[in-house]
Amino acid sequence: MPYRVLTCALLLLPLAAQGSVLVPRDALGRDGRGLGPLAGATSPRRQQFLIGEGLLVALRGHGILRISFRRDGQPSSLASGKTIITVKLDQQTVQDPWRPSTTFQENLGPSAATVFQGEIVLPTSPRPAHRDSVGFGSSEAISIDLPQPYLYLGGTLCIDVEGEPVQGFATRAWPIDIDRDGARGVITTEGRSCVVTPERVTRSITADPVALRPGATARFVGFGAGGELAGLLLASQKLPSPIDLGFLGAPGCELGVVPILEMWSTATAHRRGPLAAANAYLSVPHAAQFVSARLHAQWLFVQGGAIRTTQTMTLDLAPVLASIDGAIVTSLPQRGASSGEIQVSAVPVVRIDWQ
Amino acid sequence: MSDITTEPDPPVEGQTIVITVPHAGPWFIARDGSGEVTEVTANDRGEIELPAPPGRGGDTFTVTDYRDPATDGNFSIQSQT
Repeated sequence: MPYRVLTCALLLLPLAAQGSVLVPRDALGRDGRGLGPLAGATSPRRQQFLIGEGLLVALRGHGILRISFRRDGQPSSLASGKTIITVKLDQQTVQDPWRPSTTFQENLGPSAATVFQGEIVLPTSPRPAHRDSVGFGSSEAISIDLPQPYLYLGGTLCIDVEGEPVQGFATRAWPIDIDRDGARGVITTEGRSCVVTPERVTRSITADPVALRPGATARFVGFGAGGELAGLLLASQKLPSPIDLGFLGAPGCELGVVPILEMWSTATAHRRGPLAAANAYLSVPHAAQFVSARLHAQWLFVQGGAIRTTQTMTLDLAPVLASIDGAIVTSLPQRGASSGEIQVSAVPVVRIDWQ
Repeated sequence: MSDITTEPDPPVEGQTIVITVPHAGPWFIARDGSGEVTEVTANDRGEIELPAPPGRGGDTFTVTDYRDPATDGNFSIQSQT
């Protein structure tokens, strides 16, 4: 009898061993540099968090029991909500967390497992006493309990989340904390635009400097009229002197670049605002030759034979490669998205409980 | 309204307002019904600080990133009295 008790105790010991891993390791006591939505929390989305194994050393060989996403430290109270989400986990498919695909399916291998499917409650979260005081308490994090442990053996961990708010229980905002390295590019505009914009919109082309870096999805916005065909012209060089397009029936409109790449879309009128915008997305490879690289861009709008052009924008990419061992791929707020924009050198602030 | 908050909530006429949006970069604030739009930049923490709301009590604004579909929200300014 004593032997049987001892044997049972020995068998239970490894199972009872539990712990947790914090990503990033130093996240306690400081708010991450960024923030972002969690897929399904406030709108339908799909999202993948890719976390390099260097951040998960203590998790190797253990079964993931719970994943908790910490709220952002912004000084706001957050209202409760409910969401229906599906969580898949995968490991070792993405070899390098700085080089994920914008296509979600390509970041999941044949061994990807659906580890959770169901309703999650977003807790009511009071305004934090201080930005850096947020922890993983029941009102400070969204926790996902896995019905079965998921064994992590190593490699880049991909946490794939797809969801949408429960009808009638959507909350306005529940941002999660994101840690980033703060690197960014620089944009400058020059030349003239023949697109008429409101007085306080001083340029008809813009871009997100945070996404101008190797490994990220750079996004460009141009303002035209609803329904116009919109072409983003990308160039490695701009013209010494812009060419006036009077000979094409567009006097006062200038071409300022020699394009090496054109990306075409349609300008869409905003449902409430007075502007119509075109968007273009460019995946910048995570490679040394794109560190501090310089590009030039200009939008061209065409409708009924009429041409209009924006200013020329010079884009200086960030002077560094990624330094945080992770990336986040996030879709636009829509159901059934198959791809998303990449934020490189970024991780969600999460606690992963294991046994 | 999605992923966008203001502090204070609601914003008060004449007081500093901090709008928190879900990503850094260029955002646009339109005063509804006026045709006025202002380009603003959110910092890494998604914050846009405006020394004073760009309008008067009762005015309503739309905040958007002009993606398609856009992430956007709106807020109304409360009168000080």
